Amino acid sequence: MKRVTIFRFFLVVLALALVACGGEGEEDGHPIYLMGADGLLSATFFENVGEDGLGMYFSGPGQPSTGAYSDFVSKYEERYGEGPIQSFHARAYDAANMVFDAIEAVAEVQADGTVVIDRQALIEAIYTTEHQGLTGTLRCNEFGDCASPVIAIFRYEDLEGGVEGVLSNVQRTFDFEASESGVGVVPAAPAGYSVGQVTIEPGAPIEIATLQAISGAVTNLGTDQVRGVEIAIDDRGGTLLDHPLELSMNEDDLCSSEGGTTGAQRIIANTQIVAVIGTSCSGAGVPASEALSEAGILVISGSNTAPVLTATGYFSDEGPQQGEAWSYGYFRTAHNDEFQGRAAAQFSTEDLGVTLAATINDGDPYTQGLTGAFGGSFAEFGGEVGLATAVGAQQEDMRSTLTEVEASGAEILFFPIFEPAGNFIVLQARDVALDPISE
Amino acid sequence: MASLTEIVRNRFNTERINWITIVFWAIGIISIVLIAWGSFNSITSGRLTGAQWRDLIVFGLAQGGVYSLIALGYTMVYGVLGFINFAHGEVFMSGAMVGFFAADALNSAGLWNNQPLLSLLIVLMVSMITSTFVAVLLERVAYRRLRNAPRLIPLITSIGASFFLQYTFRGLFGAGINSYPRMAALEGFINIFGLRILRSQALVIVAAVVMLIGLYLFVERTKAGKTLRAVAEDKEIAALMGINVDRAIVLTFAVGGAMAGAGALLYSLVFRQVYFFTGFFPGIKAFTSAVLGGIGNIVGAMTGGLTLGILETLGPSLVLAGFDIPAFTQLKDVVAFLALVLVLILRPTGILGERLSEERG
Amino acid sequence: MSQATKQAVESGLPRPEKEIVLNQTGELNLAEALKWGGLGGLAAIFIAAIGMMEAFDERVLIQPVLTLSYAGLGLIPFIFGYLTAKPPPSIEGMPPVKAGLHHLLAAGLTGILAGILLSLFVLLAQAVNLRDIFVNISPRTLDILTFEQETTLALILLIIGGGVLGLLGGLIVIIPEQWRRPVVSALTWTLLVGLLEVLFQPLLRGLNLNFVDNILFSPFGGLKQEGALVVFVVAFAIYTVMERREGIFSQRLAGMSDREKRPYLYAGIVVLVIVLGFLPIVGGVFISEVLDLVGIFLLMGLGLNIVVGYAGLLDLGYVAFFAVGAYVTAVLTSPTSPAWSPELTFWAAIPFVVLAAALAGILVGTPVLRMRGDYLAIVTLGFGEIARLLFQSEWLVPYVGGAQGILSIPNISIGSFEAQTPPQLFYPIAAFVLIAIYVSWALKDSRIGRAWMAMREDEPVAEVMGIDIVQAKLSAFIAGAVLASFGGALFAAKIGSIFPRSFDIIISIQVLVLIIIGGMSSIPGVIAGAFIVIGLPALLREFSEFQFLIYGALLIYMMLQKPEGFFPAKERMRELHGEEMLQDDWLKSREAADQETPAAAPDHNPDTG
Repeated sequence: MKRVTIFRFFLVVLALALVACGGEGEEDGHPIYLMGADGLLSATFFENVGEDGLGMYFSGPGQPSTGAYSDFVSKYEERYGEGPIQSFHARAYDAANMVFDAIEAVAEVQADGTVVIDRQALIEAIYTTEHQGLTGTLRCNEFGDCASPVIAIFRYEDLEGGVEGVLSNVQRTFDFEASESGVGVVPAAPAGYSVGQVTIEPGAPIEIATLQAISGAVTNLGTDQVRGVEIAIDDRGGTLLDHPLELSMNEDDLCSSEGGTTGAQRIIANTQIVAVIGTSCSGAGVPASEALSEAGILVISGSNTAPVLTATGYFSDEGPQQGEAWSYGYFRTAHNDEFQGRAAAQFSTEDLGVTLAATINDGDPYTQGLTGAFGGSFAEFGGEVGLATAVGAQQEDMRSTLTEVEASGAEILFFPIFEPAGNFIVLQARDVALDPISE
Repeated sequence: MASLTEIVRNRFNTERINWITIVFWAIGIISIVLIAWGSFNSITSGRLTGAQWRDLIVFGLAQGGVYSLIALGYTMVYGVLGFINFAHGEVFMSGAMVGFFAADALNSAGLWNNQPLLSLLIVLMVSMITSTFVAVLLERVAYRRLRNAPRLIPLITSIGASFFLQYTFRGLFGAGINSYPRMAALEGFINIFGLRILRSQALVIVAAVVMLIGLYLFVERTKAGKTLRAVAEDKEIAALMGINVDRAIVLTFAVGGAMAGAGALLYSLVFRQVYFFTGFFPGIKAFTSAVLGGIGNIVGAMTGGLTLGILETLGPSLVLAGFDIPAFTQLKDVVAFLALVLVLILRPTGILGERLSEERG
Repeated sequence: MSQATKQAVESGLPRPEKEIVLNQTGELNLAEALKWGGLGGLAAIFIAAIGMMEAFDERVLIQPVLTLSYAGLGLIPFIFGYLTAKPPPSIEGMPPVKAGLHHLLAAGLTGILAGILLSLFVLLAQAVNLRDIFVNISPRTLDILTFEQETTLALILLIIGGGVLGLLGGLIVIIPEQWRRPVVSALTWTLLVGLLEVLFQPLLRGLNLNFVDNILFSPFGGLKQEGALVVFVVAFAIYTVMERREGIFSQRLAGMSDREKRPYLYAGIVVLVIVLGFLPIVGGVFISEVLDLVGIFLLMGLGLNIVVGYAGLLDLGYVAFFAVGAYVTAVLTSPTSPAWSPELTFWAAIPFVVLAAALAGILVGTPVLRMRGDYLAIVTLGFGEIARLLFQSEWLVPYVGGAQGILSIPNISIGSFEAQTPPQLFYPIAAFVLIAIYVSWALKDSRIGRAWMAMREDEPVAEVMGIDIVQAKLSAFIAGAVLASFGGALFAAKIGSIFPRSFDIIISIQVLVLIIIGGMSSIPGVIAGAFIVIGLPALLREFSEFQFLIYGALLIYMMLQKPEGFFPAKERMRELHGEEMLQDDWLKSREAADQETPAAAPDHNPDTG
């Protein structure tokens, strides 16, 4: 058959299909709330979506509002020439300070100024720590969750405000009382745990390391936290126990399990590293925490939120159980996503009054965990998740997915994903007769 | 009365029917059955209204339009030189990125929304010139000397060129995502025959069709086009006939690049976000379209592009949803690639068949 | 037109359309200098604009004078100066051109021109804020380019520096042959040792050669100046000796028959095993980690080498097999794998891994049986993506864990020995690699190996010669799949948890790049490729940022100049450079014939010559 003939045949089929569909489209858009999460609380997101994103909600870590925090922000701006670029800087700052306080508490200072730090004692000190930080009172439980889980729901209403504007526009704060269970309890160390000490000669620096995502699409997430750590060091005058205090290794976790492993091994090879502030991404955190734990190195993360790293089941009847990827000596000052999912769900049902939701994740362990937590809590509050679907992280055309969202009749779309996928969803929502609520 | 085996043999040009042929037939039949069953379930479940199905088809067409334009570059180069130019996705991306700077500048100068037609034309020129330049540069630097090398070599060169361009753009312009400014003139919908289409998508479909017709006429009716076809047929004989083969090949790359540049602008209007990685997946999809439609011919690129666009957009909602697969929208690429595999199994030369003669294999 | 051409035209011959001028005389070739100078300047500007200068500035090669950024910057006029001064290859029948002073001057000119271009760029960058568009032209980059001096002084330095380096590059051409290699090699080694401090330092410490470490390396990073001198001198000495002795050694080697070579071969293998055995201990934790990664990719490289190198099937979806191996291992060994967790040991899971890989190989191989080279590439790429998407999908969460992956994969254990730390993991990985090397080597000369190569050369002809193409293709896919799946299994056990994100298309590309750069179908080539492509970025973070840029450029360059790779297999060389090799052989035989019968001068008829 001649080529052009086949093509014409193809066109005819196409036309017939279009006609067969028939039906008039709705003229009015179907109103829907849009809610993202901390992955999109990045400076560049707001620059990219502009007006289209107005009215959107975000769940994320509660930003402290104390005087100490505004001092911190001023220091940040002075040192780096811009405001905070993501939302976890304060948690990294608190993590670093917890480490410094613990070092001061357990270090043995000898007559000539040599400092000896017993690794296990350091870790045990964190388990029994109560620390007043920028983000509130930090008390670690036996699972490693140290943050008092404060989740805030923010809203984007100020077009010029950027991410700072959003972070200061809090709609509601959820202060889940940290369950008292397990606080101050030191879990049993793994069998055969013997990890020795770090000896720091007089004049030599006390070294810590960061393992954060400092390259790639999520570079803001990691860089923001490294800066928090650097400010913490500055605030101590760069010294601790009369030794210089140094961030001597700044490793990249590549937001992936291989990156986390390689970075962790690099750190382990340096026997002078006392503690690690990291990782950025939970996917990197799983293997990194395991490796660092085996080497006896204290790890505190300012942004890992996947429940499996510490404990799951905070809202279940039996209470929290040790997470599958729990490691001795791994802590975090960021919230556990079970709380974030619950906060998002509670806000949606109580404040926005919706009962039918659609969720979209992007195949990343953090986003998938979060939509799962949301879905579970949403059901508990009497709602229903009509469509729980996913898109590819590199996907550009979201319209078919959004059509399904429209078809499901959802009143809220919860999509805790990252750029650029998140941007496409916001930009294309109106194309499919969805009317994101912006008032 | 020819026996069944002889009919089948003649139809498929194979010497023997063996288990492979049977397997392929089985795959084909099972696939068709599954597709029909899934579609039936989806449609009858009433999950989507007729209007929504129609919308999906239109979205697919717009997406396909962009793929078609990019696919042209692939198909023309393959037709003339016989290898996949992996870096063509980056030719597309370069047009989109540089076009962004032009659009941004126009926006700052207030022209973007006040003079939409002029702005679009300017950005179109910028985009097309950039893409053409990159394509021609590629040919000159990387591919010219490899004309007679075994086929694998220029292919690998093109993979290298693809990465080099991607990371060059990343290094020069950063890894951040750049957003084209909104154009008020393209907001909202337009009504054609009772169909409600986005204005930007209507523009894409119309522009793609116009460009393709233009290109088709160019290749079939003009003298330069005839040169290209001659060179595609047989380089050596064409040279003997007095055709400057080098110039013809440069022209091929240039035209393919220009089409990609136009596609870049259309893509940017529909999707608005571009960054250094923007060309990678559309490039792969575009090449898939070219193969799907039958590589080496222009009508094939268009057919393949539109088909792939529709399959991708409609496929999961139509077929996969019918089997109650959770999160079926995640699997649109799976549908696209499976479609490619199926088509190539059942019709190895693509839907419209190849332009090249069989012996060139 | 040159003199010769003028004469020819006057005597009646038609005007040539294009004239190739052989610079066989000693004129100062301005055109060459301009070309290389221009390119050099552009290259330097490019490197600055993409941020390489800034990133490379962190790495100190020689404390405190030479960072990687300045080394890279300086290498540009040096290399381009060398290229300008290099005399054209000697044409058959004409006397070789000796490099003279004019070549040196041209080289210097190249350097100066490059310096001028770079200076113009610096002036532009300082006058106009380019950062809005070109985000990596940071103040730090400009500081580096101006040597942190005032602008005028800096520009003078750039231009003069460029000229001097260009001259030095040209000097390399002038140096007599026997000294050239030692000088260049010594320089290269000095820079390399400074660059790979991260590799050499732990090795020296591990071997208890701390005093060498103290002599060479500075505590602030990089070589000490004295250390650099030491390395230079030592390398120079070694290479000089090698120059003298080289011919003798290789002649002796060529002279020995295979049987005589065998004791050397066995000795070599024993030495290798001992070295491998001690390497992780000597190298330390981080080096072992790098070696583990290299080992896993090497396994995959050997597998892809069979598919692409031996059988000529361009598989761009190779990561699918890697993923299959990893997931099968995870599902069978992890106590928390969804749906079904038999909790087998690693070794008990291996047979199932092989089975799954074989099935995957057949699954991928069957649809592509009748596809040609380029279609094969895109379809296999599609399969690779399909695999990753399916593993990541919500649909298959009950079986493979979806985006959350599978955690708690137990370590490899042999009896009571558990391979937990990187040095411990090295041994099972090395064991698999050695087996894979042996299998690849054995397959190469086997019947199926030859069938693959025949198929790669010309499929229709091979088919006519009686080779079962179906069997050949499927067996190639299966062999490649099995090796990749071993890599996947080791990966899963090593990291202890797998997420679908790890199985991205970029891995297929990385494996392809490593076998191409090393040398396709050559086993030493694949090994070298793995170290270069995987080892280097893992060791040096600056490289991991720009690795794909460098690999892209390297691939283009290599396909143009050296498509057989850096460590090619002999047949490959013959395939790709066949004509040149034939010509060389013919020339050599002519020389030999000339020497034997000096009286019988060949008839120099230009028409038949």
